[in-house]
Amino acid sequence: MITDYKHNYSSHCETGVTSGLLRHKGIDISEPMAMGIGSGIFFTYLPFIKAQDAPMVSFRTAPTRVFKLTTQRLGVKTAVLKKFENQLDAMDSLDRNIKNGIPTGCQVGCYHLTYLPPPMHVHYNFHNVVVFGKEDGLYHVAEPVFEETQILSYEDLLRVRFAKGMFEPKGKMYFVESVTQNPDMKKAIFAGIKTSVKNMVKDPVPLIGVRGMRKLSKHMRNWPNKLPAKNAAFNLIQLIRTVEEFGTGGAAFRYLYGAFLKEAGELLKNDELLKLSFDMGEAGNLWRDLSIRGGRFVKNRGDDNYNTLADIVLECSVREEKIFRALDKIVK
Amino acid sequence: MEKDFTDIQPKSKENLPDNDYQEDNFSLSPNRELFYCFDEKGNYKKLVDNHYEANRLIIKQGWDAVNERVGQVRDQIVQGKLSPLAFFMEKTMMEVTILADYSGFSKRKVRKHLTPNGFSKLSPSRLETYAKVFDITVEELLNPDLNAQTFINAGKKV
Repeated sequence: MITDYKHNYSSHCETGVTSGLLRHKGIDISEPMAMGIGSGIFFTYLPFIKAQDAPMVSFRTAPTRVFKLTTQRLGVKTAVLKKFENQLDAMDSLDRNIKNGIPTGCQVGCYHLTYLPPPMHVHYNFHNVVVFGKEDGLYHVAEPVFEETQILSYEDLLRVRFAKGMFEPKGKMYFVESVTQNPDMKKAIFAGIKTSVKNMVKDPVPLIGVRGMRKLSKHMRNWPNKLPAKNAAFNLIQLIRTVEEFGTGGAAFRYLYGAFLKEAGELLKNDELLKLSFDMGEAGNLWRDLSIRGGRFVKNRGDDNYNTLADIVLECSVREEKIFRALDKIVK
Repeated sequence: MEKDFTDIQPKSKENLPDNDYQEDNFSLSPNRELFYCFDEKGNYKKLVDNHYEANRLIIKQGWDAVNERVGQVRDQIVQGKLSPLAFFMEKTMMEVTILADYSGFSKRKVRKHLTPNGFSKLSPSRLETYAKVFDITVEELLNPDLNAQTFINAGKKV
C-alpha cells in the first residue's frame, strides 16, 4: 500500500517533514513557516559533551520538538509514539499506520541509512524521514533532503529506527490525526516567535542562545593555547560543518528563519518583521563568512586567526540579540 | 507564495565537485541539496545545488581528520598497544559508549576488549557479536586489512 503523500524536498529534515505531513492534510505550511511556528531556531554550546573530542555545538532544538510545537499551534491533533516495548512492536505500528493510509514521520539515525552517500554516514540520531508506503516488503521513504524518494528494506529501517548513541530514536514515530482548516496564523506565528525569543535571549542557562555564542567565542580564543594545533583545527572544522553541512539550508538556519520572517511579514502585512527578516539574512551572511574564512584558515590561507574568527561569532551574537529583542517587542 | 521562491538550477559542470574530490574516490556531496539564499535586496530564494566550494573543502578536511585518527590507531595496533577492535571502532567513528550500546557489552568490558590481551581471550560468540556490529566477518575482525581505505561500509543499497 502506497499513500498519496507528495514528497516535500526541503533543506532541513524536521521542518521538511512537518511541512510535508501538514500539506498532505491540506494545510499549506511552507518549510520556513514550519521553522518559525515550531521555534526551530536555536543555539547551544555544550563544551562538556564531546563527539570525537570536539565540543558539541547545536543549532537545532530537540528532535520532534518542531513538529510538536507547529502542530499544536495550528490546532492540529497529532500522535507521537515513543515508547516501544520491543522493536517488532515499533515496526508493527508503523505497518498498521501505512495500511490505514497515514504517512508517518520517523526519527532515525544516519549511520546505517543505506541510501545516504558515504560522507553522510555519521552517528547522528536527529534525522527525520516520512515513511509513506510499503510494497513487497520494502518501505518507501520520503527523505526530505533528497530530490527523489527512497526505498529501504525492513531490516534497514528497523536498524536506523533503533540506532544507538546520543539521543537514541528508540523507534519514535509521529503522525497527524486530524486537522482544523484555516488556523489562526497570526496567533501561531506570534507564539512561535515568543518561544524563539525565550530560547535565544532569555534563557537563564548561559550556554543557550546568544549567551552561548559569547561563551563559544570566548572559548575559541583559547583553543590554540589550550589544545594541540590539530585538535584546535578539528574543533573549528566541526563547528563549521555544523553551521553549513548538516541540513541547515545554509548558515545555521539563519536564512531559513529569515525566510520565515519575510513570509510572516508579508502575510501579516507587518513592515517591522520584513525589516528584521533583512537583518536576519545579514546575520546569516556573517555565519557564512565564518565558514568561508574559517575554511581558508584551516587550509592555511588568508590572514585570519582564532581571534578574528571568534570576533565573527561575537558579532553574530550581538546582531541576533538585537533582532530577538526587537521581535520580543513586536509579539508583546 | 512558495512557488516564486523556487529557483532550481540545472546541474552544470561548474557545480560539480572538481577533480581534487573525484580523485579521493568519494564524492563529498554527490546529491544536490536545497539551500536558502539571501541577496542584498532582502529576497530569499531556494536553490538546489551542490555544496559550494569552501564548504566542500571543510567537509573534506573533516574526513581527513577522521582518517588521521584511524591512522594513529593503526600505528598503535602495529605496536601491539591496541586490539583490532580499536581499529574498527575508530573506522566506524564509534566511541566506547556507542560500541557498548550496539554490542550490548558493558563499557568496562568493551575497554578491556580494546587491549590485545583482553581481545585474545574473546569467545567465538562474542567475536560474532562484534563482527555483526561492524557488518564484517569474524575472519576480517581477527585479521583486519589495516591499510584499507578508511571509510564506511554501512549496509548496501537495496
